[in-house]
Formats: sequence, structure tokens, C-alpha cells
Amino acid sequence: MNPESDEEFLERAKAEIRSEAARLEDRPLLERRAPSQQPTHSSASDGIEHNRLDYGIGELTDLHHRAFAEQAFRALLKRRPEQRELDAQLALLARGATKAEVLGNLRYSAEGKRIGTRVGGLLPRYATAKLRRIPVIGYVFDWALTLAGLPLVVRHQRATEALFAAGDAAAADADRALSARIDTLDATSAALRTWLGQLQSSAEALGVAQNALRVRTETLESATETHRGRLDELDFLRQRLYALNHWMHHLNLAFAEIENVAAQSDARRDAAAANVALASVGRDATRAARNEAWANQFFERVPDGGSVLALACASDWLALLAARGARVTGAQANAALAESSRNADVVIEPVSEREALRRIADASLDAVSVLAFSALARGMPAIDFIGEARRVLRPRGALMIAFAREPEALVDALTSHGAAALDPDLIASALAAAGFTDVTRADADDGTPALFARNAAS
Amino acid sequence: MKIAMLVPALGERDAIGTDALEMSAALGRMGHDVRLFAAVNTTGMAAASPDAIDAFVERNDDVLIYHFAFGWPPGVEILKRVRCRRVVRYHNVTPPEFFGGWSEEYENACRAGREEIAVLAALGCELYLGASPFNVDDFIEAGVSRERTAVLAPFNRLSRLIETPANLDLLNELSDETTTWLTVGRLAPNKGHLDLFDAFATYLDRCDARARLLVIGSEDARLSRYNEAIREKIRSRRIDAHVRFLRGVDDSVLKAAYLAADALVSLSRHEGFCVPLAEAMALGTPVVALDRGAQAWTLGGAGLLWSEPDPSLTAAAVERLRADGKLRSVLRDRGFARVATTFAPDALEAQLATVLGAFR
Repeated sequence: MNPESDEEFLERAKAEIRSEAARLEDRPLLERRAPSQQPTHSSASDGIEHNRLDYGIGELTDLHHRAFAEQAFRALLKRRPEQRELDAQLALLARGATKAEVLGNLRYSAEGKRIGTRVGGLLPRYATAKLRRIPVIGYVFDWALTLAGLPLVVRHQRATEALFAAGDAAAADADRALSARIDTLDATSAALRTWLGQLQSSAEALGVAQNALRVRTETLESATETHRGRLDELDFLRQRLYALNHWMHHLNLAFAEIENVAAQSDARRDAAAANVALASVGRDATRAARNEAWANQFFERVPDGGSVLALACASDWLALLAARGARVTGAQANAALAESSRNADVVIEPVSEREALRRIADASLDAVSVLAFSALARGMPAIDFIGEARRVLRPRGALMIAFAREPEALVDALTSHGAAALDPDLIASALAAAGFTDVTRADADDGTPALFARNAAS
Repeated sequence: MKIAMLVPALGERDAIGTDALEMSAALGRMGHDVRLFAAVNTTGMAAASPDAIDAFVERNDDVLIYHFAFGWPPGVEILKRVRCRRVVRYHNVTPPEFFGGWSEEYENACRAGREEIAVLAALGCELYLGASPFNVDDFIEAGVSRERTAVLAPFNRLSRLIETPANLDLLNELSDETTTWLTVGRLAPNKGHLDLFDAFATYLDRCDARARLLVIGSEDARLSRYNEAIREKIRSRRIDAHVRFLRGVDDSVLKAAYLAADALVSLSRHEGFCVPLAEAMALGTPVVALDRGAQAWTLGGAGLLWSEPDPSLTAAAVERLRADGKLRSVLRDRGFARVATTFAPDALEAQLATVLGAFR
């Protein structure tokens, strides 16, 4: 069998925990205890065997004096004696009472009877002790018993003498051991005095260190206080920051709403102007012939399938360029005009002319055309446009600039932006100055000015 | 490479401040020219005003790292106008629902912060760097493509915690036979303290009547209703004598608590990362947690994770951890491995170098 992987082990443990959790409520409710509370000691630690109710008399009489009396209470009454109770039993023994009488007094007291401890051999001994207490009869009985037991008493006497002799010898040994121990303690005491002196020196050094620590602690407490002040300050600043965030958020929402309304208004205005401009262009009878003528001249300078950026022009010009095989890209920021220029063969960038030029890499176009140069010049200075045209056109790339009334120029006029008045000859001079070659002016039959030029060879 | 580290409020011991400071140090070690910018700075570190950020990151190939954890419109404006590459370091914003009925101020601030996620997503920043996959999901849901996101756990203070000696007085005090539960984190509604107290009361009633619960975390005066609810819960479950709050603790006390605890219990319902889980793993303390937010990812299989805050389940999990040495050992080994591979300073530094490698 494969050993269980950690993953399997964890899954099994979790399953077992789940089933244990389901059974948790079936457990008895525990009584709360404070966490620091120590467990109660077991009853055996005080020497009382609560469950034991059967003793032999020898177990209880082997001990002597106080130890005997205390053990009698623990065995027969299952408790420790109070001091007065202990004193009374010791006085009884001092007056010559037998141990059996003391044990019997306890066992056959009301408390002892209630507990009912059995002590083998106690009853006859206790009865004999009590019989001796009866006046006259007890005295005779005591004499008779004493005489009968005299040989035994003499034997006990000899044994006691031997025991005392042994005890004397043991005491002498103990005395010698004690003297030796006292000598050792004297030596130890002298050593301790020496150590004590050293400890006092160390304590003095510790006192110095303690003072230094106290100073340091006070410094640290002061620093802590300062730090706490800074934390309070942080809390205050955070509260202000949260509030400020909330206000700023709502302010931004309000601004966004205002901008949205303004943008919608602009869009409506641009759409209306674009509709008017497109209608006006549609009524221009000379437009088609003019564009056709310009296209002929333009494509003399554009290679087959060349890339053309057509700016500030209407959809008919874009379509004308595409029809002649050019890859045409236009730019129209006005959404309505951009929509009117939508053509499957033309890419319309929904951005301004400046942005459209900015996105084009250096020397990557074959031609650039601008039909309404005045409209373009409103969004970017003519000189900037000429510079950008130089940059995006390939060497010998074609540039056409016309000054027609294209929809963009009409929209500008309608929306009061106004159109820049530009002199075609001035622009021609600027082109030549910027490095364009073959700059020629080719006005249309209706007099609309137009310029053609080529980018420098390198 | 010039790298600007922008933090609205820079604090030394909070998770965001620690991440920003340690990340700056790591980038500095990599040889970058790093500078901190903060509107509020309570650390001893030098940090410039956010107004100076444009003059520092002026080139297209410079980098701005913006630490985002709550709404801050000036941060959005800075991201809009700078010309350098932009990284949004996302620590998560707690959804406002968690504060409903507890604090209107927090509810509004969190709502503004959550709404700012969409604003930041629309900016098209070069990288959205979440502290966990859970955080990254917020930006993916807001329209950011997955290719523009990455996960990097927060830089942290685990090394310092490991090296700091534990407070011996507290350690001695807690080293008895009593079960010790531990929870770490500020007292806030999303942290699940009320569920935790229910689970702990169940443990006292059925498993160990002498158990204790250590709660390490600061109270927020603006959450007074929640604070009172906690006190009422403790009274009603009669666990006053068993719950001990430790506030303003230093690293030595924090470490002693982790070492003495039988388990770190986190029933938090929303976490963008949960630093205490990483701390517990680093110190070998077993973890019992709720599978919400980023907690599953942070643990990486090194803890007992449950999908519901069932008091009996939490209590039984702690009891099992007390009794099962093998379970503790397996979780401890996994936790150490998780920290070493993902949260240790050198691991984080290597991950950061990989993430920023695309910017070279």
C-alpha cells in the first residue's frame, strides 16, 4: 500500500475535523475556569485515603506520639485533627493510656461510627482498656493481668535496655556526624561571607548600571511620548485625507457631468454645421471637374499603389484617390464629417490633422494632400505643417496644397472659429525655403489656387 | 533607471508603508535611482512632495510606482500627466458594504476608492501589480488585460520579526497547559471578530474551559459602533475573563504571542493579502482561517482553511491542532516552505526583478 501523502493526510484530517465538529454540541457543557486557574490537587496528597475503610491494628499502632495520633485521625475520621483534639489525645497518652484506648475512643465516637472504619483486633484491646478503668474490679483485673504478663514485661524490659543501648551508640555516632557537619558548615559559612562581600561589590556595580538604565528608560519614555504624538498626528491627517478624498471624488463627478454636457453641446453644433457644409459642397457644380484635374496632376507625382495621407478634404476626394489605386489614410476630428467620409477603401483616423501627422513615422509616405489648407492652418501653424510634411514624406514624395472651400473650412466658418487667410504664393515660398523642390502653382479653372511640390531627394 | 515611489500616506509600521520602504530599498540594491514621494509622511525616511514628481521622472523610460489602497484623486491626476511608464501597486480597497451600519465615513471613503479602480484601469498604465491574484482580479474585471497584470506579495518585516527576541515575560506567562488562540489585525468589520468570539465561546464550552484568546490589533475611534458591538459580544458570550486585548505591541511581544499560541485564527471576510498569516507561517504557528479574499493564496495550503465561519468547525480545528503533532508538523513545514519561496526578502526581490525586467 502506498504511504499517505501530505495532501491526502490533510484532506483526511479536515474530514475528521468536520465530523468531530458535528458531534461537538453533543458534548457536556464545561464549567468555565479562568485561564490562570491551576488544577485542583488530588485528595491523596494530604495523606487521607478516603476510600479505604479496613486497617490492621498494627498499621496504626506502629507510629508513636504525635505521628500516631495524627494517623489515627486520618485513618478513622478521614480528616486532619484540630490542634485541641490532638492535644487531648496526646495528654491521654501522657497519662498512661494505651494506644488501643486512643484508637477505640476515636473509632467508637459518634463521628467514627458514622464513618465505620474497620480495625482488625481493636475491639478486644479497647474493651480491656476500658475494663481497667472500672473502680475496684478494674484495679484487681489490672493486677491480675499485670502479674500474668510479668514474664513478658521483663522480656520487654530487657529488649528495651538493648534498644536504649543501641540508641546510645547511634546517638554517639550521630553526635560525631553532627560535629563534622558543623565543621563543614563553619567552612561553608566562611566561604559564604567571602562571596557575600563579592556580591555586595557586584550589587554596588549593579546599582550604578541601574541608574544608567533609569536615565536611558526616561529618555526612551520621552521619545515614546514624542512618537505617540506623531501617531496621533497621523491619525488626524488620515481622517482629513479620507474626508478630502470624499469631497474630491464628488467634485470630480460634478466636473465630469459638466464636461459631458458641454461635449454633447459641441457635438450637436458640429453635426449641424457639418450638415450645412456638406450640403453646400454638394451644390458646388465645378467641384467634380476641379478635383479630377487636381487628381490628374497629383498622380503624375505619386507612384502606383502609393501611400497617401489626405487632410482637410471631403469624402469625394478620398474616394477619387482610392479609385486611382492609392492606399489612402484620412484624418477627421469632427465626428459628423468623419461619418460622411466613411469608405471601405479608406482609413479614417478620428483625430486632428496634427495628431494624424504626429503618429506617422519618418519618411513613410509617398504623398500628402491638403485641399482646404486654411482649415488645416487653424489647427496647426503652416510652418509646422510644412516641417511635418518634410518629415513624413519619402525623398521625392509628393505634396499637394489647395485652398478650396472644403467642408472642414465651411464648418470652421459656421462655428465662428474663422479660417486663416493665407497667400498661396507665400506658402509656395515657404515650401521652397523648407527644401521642397519642383514647387509649382496650378490653379483650377474656377480660380481656386493649388500648389504641387516634391520632397527633397534626401 | 529612475523610479518614483508614490504613496499617499507613508507610515513605518503599516503594511503599505512597509511595502513601499522595503521595495524602495530592494530597487536601490538593484542599482536604480529610487525616490519616495508622499503627501503624508510619519516615518523618519526622506520623502518628497508629490508635486516634485514630474521633475524627477521626466523621461519616457523612467518608472512611477503608485501604491493604491484607497481613493486619492491627486494620484490619478499624477498618473494622467506623467510621461514615464506607470505601475499601479494595488493593495486592495475594502468594499463599502462591510462598513454599512458601522461607519458612514468609512463607507463613503471605500466607495470612492472602489470607484477609482475603474478610473485607474482606463488610464492604460503599463503594469498593474497586485499583492495577490485576488487583487489583480479587480483590475481584470475593470477591463485591464491579463498581460498587463502581475502578482507580487508585499514586502514585509518577517526577517525582523524572526530575528527579534521574544518577550520572555509574556512567553512565560502564556506557557502553561491552557489553550491559546491568537488573532492579529485591526478591529474592523471585515475582519470577522464577532464570528471569532462565537467560535471561541464554543471552544470554551465544549473543549477547554480554561482557554484564552489573545487579540492583537488597534481600535479605531471612527468605528465606535463596531467597538461597542465587540464589547457586547464578549459580555453576552461570557468570555470576558478569557479574552485579552494587547494593543500597541512591539515586535518582541508580537513574536511571543505567535510562539505561545496554539493557533492563529483568522475569520476575516475580506483580505487583499493578510500579513499575519505570513507572520504565523514564518514563526511556525498553525493557522485556521476562512477561505475569503486572498487568504487561500497567501496560505498556499499551509493552514486549515474553511469555506464557512462555523463556530464548531473552527473550535474543532483548534482542538485537533492541539492534539495532533503530525498535523502541526505538516502545516509548519509547508508554512516555512511557503515563506521561503514566496515571502522571504530575497524571494520577493527576485520576483520584483523579474516583473520589472520587462521595463529594461
